[in-house]
Amino acid sequence: MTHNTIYHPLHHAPAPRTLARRAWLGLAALPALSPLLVPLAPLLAPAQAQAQGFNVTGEQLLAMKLKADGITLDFPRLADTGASVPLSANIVAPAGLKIVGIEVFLPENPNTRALKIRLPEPQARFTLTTRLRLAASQDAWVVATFSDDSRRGASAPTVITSSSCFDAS
Amino acid sequence: MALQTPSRLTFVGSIRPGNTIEARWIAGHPMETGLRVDDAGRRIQRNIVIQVRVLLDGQLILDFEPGTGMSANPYLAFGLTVPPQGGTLSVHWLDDNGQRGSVQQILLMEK
Repeated sequence: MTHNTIYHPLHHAPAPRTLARRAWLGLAALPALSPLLVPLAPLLAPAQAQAQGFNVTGEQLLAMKLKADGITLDFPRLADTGASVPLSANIVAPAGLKIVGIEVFLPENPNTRALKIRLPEPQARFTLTTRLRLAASQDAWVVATFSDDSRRGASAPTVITSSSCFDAS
Repeated sequence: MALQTPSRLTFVGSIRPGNTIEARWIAGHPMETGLRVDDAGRRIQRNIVIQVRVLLDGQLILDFEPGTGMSANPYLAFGLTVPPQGGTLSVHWLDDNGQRGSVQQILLMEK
């Protein structure tokens, strides 16, 4: 005798799948997936990452042991206020390479990356002048990225007599 | 209605084909860092210019991403090689509040 295998909801009522069981299974899988989720976090929340700034400390910049060849900075040694300190950078790429990006870091600021520049048309040399807002006396860093993904960076110190990030002046 | 933010683009140097000149852009923007507090102790909302794009004849040549470390009234000056046929340089910017602005200048060749 063979059983009728045609499914009928009244004949074969499946056991109710409780939401709680599914939820617990999902929670159990989270630790296994967390290593994958953490590196994706900056991609998932670019606005938040930008709000926080890409904070790089002075120690981290020093640890990179970047060569300063080809990068000339013009930065005042003393500034009355950190509200607007002029910075000029002249960058010359090594032979055979071109500049594809430049970043300006202020390691003592709340958000350390002051400026990022992308050059869609890579150039052999680039000159930049801007004005920076400094929270404290510090070294300003200019880091250039070249067409072979190598980096060079130079720093220049300045001493300021009043902060400009927190006061309401 | 928000006040229009003034911006200016100027060139310094001899505008001749192949010459490298300096292009200077400045905008009258407060560049609020979001870290300051007003006299009542309330935090002032962050509002900085988050993107500045430089186009030469409609083609993107530079993409700036300023941070809170840029001073109020942001100023950017950069080298520019004058193309043989001249052209128009335009600078477009966008801030945290979604306000946009642009300014352009024609590279008039010197005789």
